[in-house]
Amino acid sequence: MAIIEVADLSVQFGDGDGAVTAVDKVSFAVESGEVFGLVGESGCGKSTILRALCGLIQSWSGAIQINGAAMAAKRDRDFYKLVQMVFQDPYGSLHPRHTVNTALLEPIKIHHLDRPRERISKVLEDVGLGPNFRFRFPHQLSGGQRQRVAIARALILEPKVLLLDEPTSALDVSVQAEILNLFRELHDSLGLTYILVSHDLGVVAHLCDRLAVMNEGKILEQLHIQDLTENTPKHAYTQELFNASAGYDSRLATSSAE
Amino acid sequence: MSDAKPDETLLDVEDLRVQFNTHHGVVEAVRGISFSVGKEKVGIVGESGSGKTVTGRSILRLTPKMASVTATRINFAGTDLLNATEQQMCQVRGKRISMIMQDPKYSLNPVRRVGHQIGEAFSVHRRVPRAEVKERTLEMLSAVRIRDPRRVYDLYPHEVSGGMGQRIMIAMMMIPDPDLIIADEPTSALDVTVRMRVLGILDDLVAERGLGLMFISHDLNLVATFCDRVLIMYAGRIVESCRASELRDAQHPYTRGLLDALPRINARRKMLPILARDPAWRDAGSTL
Amino acid sequence: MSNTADTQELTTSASGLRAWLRAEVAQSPMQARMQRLYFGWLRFSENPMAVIGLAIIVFVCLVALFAPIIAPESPTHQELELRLTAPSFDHWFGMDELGRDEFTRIVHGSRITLMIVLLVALIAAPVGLIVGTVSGYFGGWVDTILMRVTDVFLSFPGLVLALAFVAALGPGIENAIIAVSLTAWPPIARLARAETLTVRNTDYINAVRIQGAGHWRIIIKHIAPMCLSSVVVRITLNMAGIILTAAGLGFLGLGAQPPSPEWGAMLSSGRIYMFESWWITAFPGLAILVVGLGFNLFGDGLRDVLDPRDE
Repeated sequence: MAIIEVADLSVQFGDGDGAVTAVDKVSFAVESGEVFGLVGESGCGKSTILRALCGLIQSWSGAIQINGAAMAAKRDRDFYKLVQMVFQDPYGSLHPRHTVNTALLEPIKIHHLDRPRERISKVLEDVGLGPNFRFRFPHQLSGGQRQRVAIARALILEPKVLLLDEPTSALDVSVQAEILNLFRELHDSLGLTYILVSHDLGVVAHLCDRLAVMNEGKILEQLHIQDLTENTPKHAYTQELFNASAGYDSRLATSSAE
Repeated sequence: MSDAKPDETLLDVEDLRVQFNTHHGVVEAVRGISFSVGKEKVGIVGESGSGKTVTGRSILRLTPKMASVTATRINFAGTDLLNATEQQMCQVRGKRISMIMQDPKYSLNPVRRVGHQIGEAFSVHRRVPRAEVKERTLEMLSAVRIRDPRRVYDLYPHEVSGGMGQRIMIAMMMIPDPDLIIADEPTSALDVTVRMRVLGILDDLVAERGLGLMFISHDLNLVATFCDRVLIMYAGRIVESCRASELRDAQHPYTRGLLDALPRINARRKMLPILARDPAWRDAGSTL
Repeated sequence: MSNTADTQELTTSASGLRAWLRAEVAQSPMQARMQRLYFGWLRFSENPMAVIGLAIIVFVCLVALFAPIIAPESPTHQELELRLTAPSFDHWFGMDELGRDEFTRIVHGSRITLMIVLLVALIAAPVGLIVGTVSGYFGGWVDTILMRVTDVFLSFPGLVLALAFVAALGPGIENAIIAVSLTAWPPIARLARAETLTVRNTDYINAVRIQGAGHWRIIIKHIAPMCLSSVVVRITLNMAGIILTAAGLGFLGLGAQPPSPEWGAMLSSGRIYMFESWWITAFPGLAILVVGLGFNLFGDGLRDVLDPRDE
């Protein structure tokens, strides 16, 4: 059963002549337990889709169904116990004046959950941070540690779906590997569903089962990971992304004027 | 990737050390590195905190006040950069060594037209009539493959895309005809397809003019495919140095660890090998 | 180096405190907060002018606190035969036109000045903060209405507005405080609104939104703390202006009423004697200058330390 179903989703910013169509009639479905990737370059609309899915953007048109229920523009509180998001920039997604403990306590207080200290300890353990980190401020943490705190914060409400918005783009390669492994572990042990958004085809190919390639607000094609690596014919843009992710090739660096 | 031999050494650095004096104590960003750059593309790769950016900036003495830069030698084609006066450094910056920075959003002056900024980079080093400055600017804009130089000349930085902004940055840095370019993460803020095009321009210009290029980046794969030689930095030291083509056979465990930690489309693994940092790496040899 | 048990204990407890403040890992929220304060203080104390400003403020606070001990006589006690005496060993600042000791009046007047400054800050800052954050957060017509109201207050020069309120409410120190507060909150509101607009779209605010936080929780717990630094700096820098406005009201006879030793009122009543008996106006004027300067220097230093851009 598809846990997320999106049909003809469109998002427009601004109105009149200056209106920009960020997402243009996008449709896709994500099965429960799947890791689904959205790949594209900046401005293609992939992050906008995530924001529409989790309710941060309220002016969208089309149909969004999550866990069988049709979504309205505003979400009720219980929705947030089902779907959570991890943001891109670990330096920007933690409140600079709150300690780790305060940040993790917030969702607990908002939803009046019991056993706060237990929950916090457990979630810190799940993401590989010890109790030493509870009273640190974000500026005392490294990029990887901040991202782990962000993941812990997303997990504390025990969601079923995690929306990952370029979660490793701001991290070093070695730290990225650790966080990707963490995502894999959490996925397997907690039975989560992921939608992973990234511009990095390598990261998407590593974690995802299926992916959609986006450009200028539209989905150009959807494929399984095997299709990427095997020689199945792909959309020209997908091929371009694929080649570019292999590194610089002077023969392919088309000297196109801009 | 050119096969040009670095026939003459442009930049020669020996035992460079940079430390920052902060409230929390002394932070040693660069701990004794030595390298040289000829008419070739040398990549300096490292993660955050490795000291690669500080290295680039300390050559041009663009480090903050609380940094202290010492070395046995920083020599650029006969000029001693270590002991040069500020006035002498001004003669070097832009004219002989240029620096391309990461994000044109932040490195271009937002309130001046793009054409004027490029022109200024030229006229600050040469006394030349204004008409000629404009002509040279338009020439340079075509050299970075901007289709309509006259139109772009009058644009403001916020009116151009990331890729075009970076081409403009390259134009600005190349117009005074330097001998060495230091590029600090020049394509990290760009989309992947745009990145390839901008690198193509940089590649051609560097080959055409016989320049040296110091390419600082965190992207090992990119540097390995773009540059001629690669230096890997860790904790302020150079732990590996080899030809780019030989990177796959790298010896140092840190390099191997970095290579293994990259997710590869063609060779999917369930878990990526974690880079286990050996404290002994901090004392790695630092000379070429 | 003395080796008594006391000094040893003192030094070990001092070094213990230092170690606690510099510890890598904070064990409690209190320790985390204290550590932040400690490092903030280190940065602050690098700026000599800022430390001078703080010293002035502390000095004035101490003078105000210990006024009865420093100047035991009553500020309204008169010795008419000594009126208009120049500064001397017995009367350091001289005597005013009604035979009252200037020094005693200046010292006791510091209490009034500090009270005005404190109360104005305590009224204007929260009001400005609330108006600004609500305005910036909700946007739309809430923003429009609140900002136009703010504009109305801002369009009047401070003293003129204060005069208008005091004229309506009647002279007196309490009304003067209310009047000055009404002129002090609009710039704070503007500032808080600007900060809110920046903070509103950050990922950490988005993160707490998708946890289901309500508007007021977000404003009070998440947005307001980010505005606090700028507001504190701004109000400190505005202190000098507040002091001058209050002194201006006092000068015009609309603030503290005689025989209260308010510095502005002292300036006013002494001005006809200014040329023959310079001390009657010079010392209150100097006092106002010094306190204003102290707050300015302190505020500058505070801004350098608290600027969120550095974090």
